[in-house]
This record gives sequence, structure tokens and C-alpha cells, in this order.
Amino acid sequence: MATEEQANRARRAQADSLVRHGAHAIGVEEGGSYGKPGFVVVAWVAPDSDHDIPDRVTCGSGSEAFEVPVMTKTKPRFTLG
Amino acid sequence: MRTPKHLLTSLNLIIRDNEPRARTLGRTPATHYHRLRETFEDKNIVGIGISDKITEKRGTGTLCLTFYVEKKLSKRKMKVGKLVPPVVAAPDGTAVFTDIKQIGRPRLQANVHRSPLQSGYSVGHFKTTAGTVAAIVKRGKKFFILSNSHILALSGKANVGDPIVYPGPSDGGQVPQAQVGTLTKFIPLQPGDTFVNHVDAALAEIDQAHVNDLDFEILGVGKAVSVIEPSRGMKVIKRGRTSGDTESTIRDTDFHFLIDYPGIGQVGFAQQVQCDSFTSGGDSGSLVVDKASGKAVGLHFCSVEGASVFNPIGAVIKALNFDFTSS
Repeated sequence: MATEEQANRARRAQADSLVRHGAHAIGVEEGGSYGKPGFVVVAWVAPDSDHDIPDRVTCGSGSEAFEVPVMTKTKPRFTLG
Repeated sequence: MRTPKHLLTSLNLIIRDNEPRARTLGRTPATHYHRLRETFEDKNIVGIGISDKITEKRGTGTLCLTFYVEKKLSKRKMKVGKLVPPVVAAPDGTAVFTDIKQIGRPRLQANVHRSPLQSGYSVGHFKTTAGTVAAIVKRGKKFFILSNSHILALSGKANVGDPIVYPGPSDGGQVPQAQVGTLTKFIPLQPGDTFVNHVDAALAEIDQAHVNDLDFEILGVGKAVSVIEPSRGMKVIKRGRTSGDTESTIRDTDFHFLIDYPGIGQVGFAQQVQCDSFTSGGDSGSLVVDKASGKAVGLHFCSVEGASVFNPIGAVIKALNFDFTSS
């Protein structure tokens, strides 16, 4: 189970990678609405987009390493206004 | 259902510019309609139309003249001369029923006006559409309009010194009549797919001719403007050019995302604040305020179905170096 702080660290560390996997936005949310305890990273993907978002990301190294679940949310890209 | 002619004639006699004349209408009907026209001196009456008469909360299937009021008052609280009669006579003698419906005070959907300059109203670079004034702010002794770069500076493609119009061009603001200031400073956007941008913000110096036409009121803020860090779950409010006064709840305070800027390309933002959707196109530039404390928390700039995003106000102040002011 990831804390909010761990999920935020994972997002900062993996945001560029998640974009390469097809995300256009990366959020952090409480996991409850996804059936997960703690906090999760949420990759926003555009409808009909090709993506291969991983189901978890790892942050830190050695005994400090931790995993955070990644959920996918299908939403259009943001627009100005 | 077609609206019967006698109803339209009665409505027209009440709303048209020219007073009904006894010579053409007859003395009694003319007096009758003169009195009905006078009811509009009552500020509680905000409109008139033709609609289904409602009795005991149910439609009767009979069309009637409907007087729309801000608030329904008991007959005891109203002066006799101000009462709307339950039935009036059309010029052809047909009885026309009336009804009273409470609708509140109607507001323009777009917050648009030419004076005074104030937070929450339409503004824009003279070559853009329209966005929203976040606030009137100060640098030294000079006053500035704070809004987004994509509203005041064409996302960085405009030139310092370009005219800023109030209201924005989509709302009829044109140079030179509506020019109130000039673009002074904007934060360049760095295109690409990395999250290196933090604000979409710009300042326009207000022309000397308009510095005596400023209203410093900001929705939800007291006299002095202070700022607060955003936090998950915080209730926020804003006043925007298109959707007016709305509120939302913050869901994420370190949101990362990519967005396309016309003429610039894809731009990545980090450390943004994402909340439930409470904005529409044209609200860009709205100042977001913490509902509980009345402190400024952000500068709105984009949205998607279900979500709105704003820059944290601390980053905006740091980037543009200004002070909020109340005078």
C-alpha cells in the first residue's frame, strides 16, 4: 500500500516514462474508487489511443524501493479555457 | 401549440416602447394597460412572457400572461396598486389570465462589461477571443491586469506593448475603443513532452486613462488579498467570464499533464492543481479562491470533461513578481 507521499514521488520519477507509454496526464488519487488501498498513480489516456501503461511503477532502490499501483483513466486531452 | 393572437397583443401592449393610446384602444383598456406597465417599476418583477398557467403546482393547459419575479411576496406585503390583477382584458375583450412565477434575478451568462475593470470579467489580447481578468494587481505604483498568457499574450507569440481590450474581442472589445492597457510581461512556454512548465500567466499594464475606473473586488475575498497553498479536498470558488460564479473541490495538487497550444505545439506542465470541473471556455484567467479562508489559491487555465486545472498562485506571483492590492 502506497502513501500519498510515495505516490507523488513515484509520479515525479515516472511521469516522463508514463508519457512514452501513452499517457497525456498523470494524477495521484486515493485508491478506494479503483478497489486499491492507499494511493495510486493514475495515467490518463486519450480515447482510442494506443498505450501500454504498466500496472505498477517502482520508485527508489534497494531496501528503500517501493511499488505504487498504476490505474488507467480514459479521458480526452485537456484544452485551453 | 400556437400562441393565441389576443395573448400576443396583450403582451405587446405591456412591453412595447409606446404607451397604449385611449384614442386607438379605448379609455378603459388604455388605463388598464397603463397600470400593468407601471408594475415594471417594481424591481421585484424581472420579466414577462406567455406560459402555461400553474395552479396548485400543476399545469392547467391554459396559456396566460406570466409575470416573472425575483421573489414571490405575500399579497399582504404588497401595495394595492402594485398587485398584478388575476385577469386582464385583451383589446378584443377576451379574458387573459395572469400568473406569477419566481425565477430569481437573471444574470448574463457571460460576465461582460466595459466599466469598471474588475476580476471575473471578459478581457483579451486584441487578436484573441476572450478570457477572464484574474485580478487587478500592482508592481510598484502601477496597476496591471493579471490573466493567462494565452489570453493576454497569444501564448507568448504576442509582443510587449500590444493592445489589451476589455471586454475581449469575442465580446465586442475592439481597438481603439476598448483598449484599456498594453501587454507588459508573460512567461514563455517551453514546448515538448516533458513537464517543465509551471504557469500560463501574463500581466498587462493598465493605461493611465483607466486607473480611476478600477474595482478591486474579488469573489470570496475580503478587503486584503492574501494567498494560500492548495490542498487535496479544499473547496474553491471562482468568477469567470463564461460560467460566472462556481465552486469545486481540489483533487490533486501535483498534477502533471500535456496540452496543445495553438501555434506552439504540445506543452507539458508539472505541479498543477486539478479539481472537479467548474469552468467553461472563456473562463481562462479566473482567479481561484479558497472558499473557507477567502485566500487566493490559483489561476485557472484549462479543462477537460470532468476536470479543471489551475496554476498554484504562489508560482504565478513568483514568476511575474506582483502584489495583490485592494486600492
